[in-house]
Amino acid sequence: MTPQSGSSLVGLLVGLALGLLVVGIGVQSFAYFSGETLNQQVRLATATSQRVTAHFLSAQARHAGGLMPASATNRNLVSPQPATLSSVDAGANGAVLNVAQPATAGLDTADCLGRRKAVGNQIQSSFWVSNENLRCRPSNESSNQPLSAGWAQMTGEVAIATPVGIQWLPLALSPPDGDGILAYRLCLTALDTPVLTPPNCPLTHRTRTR
Amino acid sequence: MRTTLPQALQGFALIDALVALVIVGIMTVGFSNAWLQFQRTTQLTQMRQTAHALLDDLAQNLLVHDARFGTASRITLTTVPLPSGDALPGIACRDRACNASEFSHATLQAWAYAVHSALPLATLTVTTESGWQRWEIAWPQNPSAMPADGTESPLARIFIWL
Repeated sequence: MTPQSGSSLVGLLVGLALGLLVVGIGVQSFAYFSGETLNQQVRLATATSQRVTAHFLSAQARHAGGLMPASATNRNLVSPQPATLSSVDAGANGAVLNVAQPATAGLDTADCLGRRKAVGNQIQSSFWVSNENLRCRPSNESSNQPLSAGWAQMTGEVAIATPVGIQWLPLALSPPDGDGILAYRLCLTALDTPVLTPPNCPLTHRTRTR
Repeated sequence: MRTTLPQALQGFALIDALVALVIVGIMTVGFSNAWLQFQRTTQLTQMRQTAHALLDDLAQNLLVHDARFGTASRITLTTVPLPSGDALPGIACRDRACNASEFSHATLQAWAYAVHSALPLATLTVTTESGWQRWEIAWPQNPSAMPADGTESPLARIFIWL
């Protein structure tokens, strides 16, 4: 009879335990990487939304008064009218940005909802962060609407042209008639990131073109 | 009494294990190199994006200067030597208005500090040509690896004309 060597019961049990261990590690790894992939997709979608929003906001700020005739003496941009913009927008976490564009500026002019409805020959929009959303409201609307989610705060500064030079002021102290506004420096802080305020908020400088 | 098993039932020889070990080692080294290269490429891409953003930030600040004081003033005042960037910039032009010189100094100091914080090995240069300025950020592509001939690591360069 030919001698044969098989597996013992202990060998089988050890093999089974090792197999289960490998399978368990595999399942754990799969669950971990699946979760991470899902989180990454959510973060990517949020980041994309925030990037688009920041670009949109900077475009609105740049276009504010940007198509007005500019000259050496005409430094007055189109005047925002805060009284018509901020009355129902309390609760903003941070600053409120009011921008206005001349209604005669052409097809590029639109409010934050993409419309060309003018009020007093101006197309006006307000932006602020509230309840983790960046919200906007055209001046001729009584209610606002969220533009994108995932924001903690918006702060900002405004560069004012003075007779002796340039001065940066908090957004809340910007001249109500928009006189001498050269630029906005906006800082949009995403959720789960450190809250920074200008000038410590980097890379958010948005010049208001003339 | 010892039983000799047939050839087909015998285990691995030492040479088999060594060969397998060498193959696994070669694969590990290959994967490590590929991963390292991927990491370097990713890091370089991130640094380029940072440099682009820093240059955009500078451009926006200098356009504010242009809007108030004119382009000629900016070109005159924002020339070499640029600040080193290792000093924390002060809070300038907030409690009072700055004139052109103060504004350009504050702008460059804050920008150089931001560059130094994000890209510590970067060097900043500005050159003027026919009424235009060329702003450049350059940094070693791979500062940890010295080329075989002893030269410095090639520089990554990002620039903008303004």
